[in-house]
Amino acid sequence: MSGLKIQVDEVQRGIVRIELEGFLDAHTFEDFENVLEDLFRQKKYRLMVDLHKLRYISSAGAGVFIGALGTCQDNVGNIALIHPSPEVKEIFDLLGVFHIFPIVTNTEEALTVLQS
Amino acid sequence: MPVETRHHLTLPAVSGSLEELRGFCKKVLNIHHLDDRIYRQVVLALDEAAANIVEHGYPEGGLQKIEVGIDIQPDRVVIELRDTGIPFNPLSLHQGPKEKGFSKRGYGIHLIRQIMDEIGYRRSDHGENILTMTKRIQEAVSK
Repeated sequence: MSGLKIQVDEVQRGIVRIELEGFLDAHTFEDFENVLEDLFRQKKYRLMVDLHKLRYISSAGAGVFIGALGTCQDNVGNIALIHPSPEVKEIFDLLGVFHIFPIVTNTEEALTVLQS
Repeated sequence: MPVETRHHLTLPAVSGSLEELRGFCKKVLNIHHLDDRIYRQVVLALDEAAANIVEHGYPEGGLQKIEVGIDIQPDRVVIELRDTGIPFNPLSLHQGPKEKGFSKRGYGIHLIRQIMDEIGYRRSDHGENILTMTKRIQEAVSK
């Protein structure tokens, strides 16, 4: 596949699951940013992002996560990352921000984090 | 027959070219069987450098080009990017994030500095921005 595919589902009241598939780079990051802006307008700040189909992320994509985490935490929410690949982890590590995100392996664990 | 060490590609200077650019870089690095970590980091540095050129060198867009060269030597990978956009030295960029909407931007040069061992910029007499980035292969495992 080419580009970025984004799927959004409200898995519980106020808790949203986003699945990213493909490439989150300087060409596609605004699509993800727009999805998050729409959720923030709806006052949804408890998010889980499934990354297991995300094949590539650059600094433009990581910057969306970093900024969005601040917005969520300012509003008593959080962003849990589900199953990031080693490549995605490496970029967050290089930016020194991997430790600031809750990392989980599935939707159930993400729910536990976001309900706490 | 010796393996060709120099590889070139010319692309439109638009963000939609980045996927093709990464594909080209991966193909070249695969020919030379470089280790996975060098492979991922060099692809990332090249992608970040090209994205900066698109954003800062050609803010008005248009039908412009980026020329990319990858030279693989036994002890190093050398990447060169040339463009004819406005004079733009990425090394002069502020190191650190800036906000654009809620997103944080400006991490690209920070990543490039972390990944690559040498980075150089010059503006040629012919009005080209020339960015050269070198990754020493022996150090890649520990860097």
